[in-house]
Amino acid sequence: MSVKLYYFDARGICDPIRMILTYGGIEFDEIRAPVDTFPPNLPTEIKSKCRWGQVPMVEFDGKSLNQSLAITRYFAKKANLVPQDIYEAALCDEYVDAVRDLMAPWYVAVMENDEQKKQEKIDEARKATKTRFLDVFESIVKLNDGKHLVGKSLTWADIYLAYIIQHFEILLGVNIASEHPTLKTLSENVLNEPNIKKWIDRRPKTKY
Amino acid sequence: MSIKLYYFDGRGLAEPTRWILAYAGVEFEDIRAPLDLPVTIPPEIKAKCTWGQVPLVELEDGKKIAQSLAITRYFAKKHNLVPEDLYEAAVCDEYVDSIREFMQAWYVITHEKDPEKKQEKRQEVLKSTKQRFFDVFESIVAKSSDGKHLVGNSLTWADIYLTHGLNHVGLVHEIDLLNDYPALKKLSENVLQEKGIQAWVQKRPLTKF
Repeated sequence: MSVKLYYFDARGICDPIRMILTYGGIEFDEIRAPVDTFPPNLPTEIKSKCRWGQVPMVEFDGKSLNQSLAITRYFAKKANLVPQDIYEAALCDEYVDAVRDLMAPWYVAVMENDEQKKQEKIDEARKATKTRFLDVFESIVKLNDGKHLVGKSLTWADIYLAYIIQHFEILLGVNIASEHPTLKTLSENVLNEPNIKKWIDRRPKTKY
Repeated sequence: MSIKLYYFDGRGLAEPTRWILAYAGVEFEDIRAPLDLPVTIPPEIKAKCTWGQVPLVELEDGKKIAQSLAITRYFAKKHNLVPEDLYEAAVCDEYVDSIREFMQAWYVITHEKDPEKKQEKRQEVLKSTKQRFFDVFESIVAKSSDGKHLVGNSLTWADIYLTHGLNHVGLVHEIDLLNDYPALKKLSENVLQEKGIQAWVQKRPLTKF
């Protein structure tokens, strides 16, 4: 399968896809649009290829796929990172959607340029996400097997959560899971998986 | 135990799940919290909700699923509304995510109180959602092999979600979106003719949202 992935020159909401492709041993080429402004503008020559005018977008076998979670879930299935059991697969969907909700207040802190206001926004994000999300995720993993969100083996939900923890540490210098030991261990284990570390070690070092 | 679906007294994010269960002929308890402003979930329901939000579903064995798309996709899979082919299944996911985007764009103007500003925003949202979404969906369906499905030749949850999305936005904002889109009109009529869905839409509570 020859895969061409279009996004910005950033980790953003595309890096989980890149991690999963690498984990699954699926080779891919990348087109990375420059991040000159934040939020960045999508060049017309890429935008015109994208059904909804947005990236990420992926081309393979003469077909295209859009919408970041549709793409992530598709390659997760290809890489055996989605459970066969439809209830467990639904839990993965649920947890990834919850991670997306968890990200929102943290992105508000990322977008803040004033240093003092930034620290305030970080504190607000902590408050907004501790009880509602991080405590819940911590409890889910503990009640499961202590190492995975769903089932007894790696799923794309583990990868997505681990990715976000690392992403905000790079962006804000803050480990959002610092008070959640089980999540901290989960993310370290995921990010050290050889075929995920392979991507992390070779990816371009970008701000976002 | 029967399936329990917890949401507000409204169509919103739970309605596609209700349509799928109705299509499949599956009985469920349609538990509805009053939709007042400010929007609050009653404590006895909120306590059940993994992430403090609705919709939430409790399955026959008591297991829970939260997050509206996870719930809808689960029942879609269970009732043969997700294509077997992985790529086609992914295209359904793509289309549903885009439908959610246009619904969100229209939702944002709901809270505008100033009538003049609201009318202005309404014109803007109509223009942008036509260009970015409705024109694109029309083209997809018009080019499809049978002219009435988004993916493949049989009903998928993407068809159901799109029909609900257009129906819901139309009802909330009192606008006939299908008038300009013959293929979407055909797709919509096809979905609404499905026995279970037709019966549900006829008997469902009439709510603003």
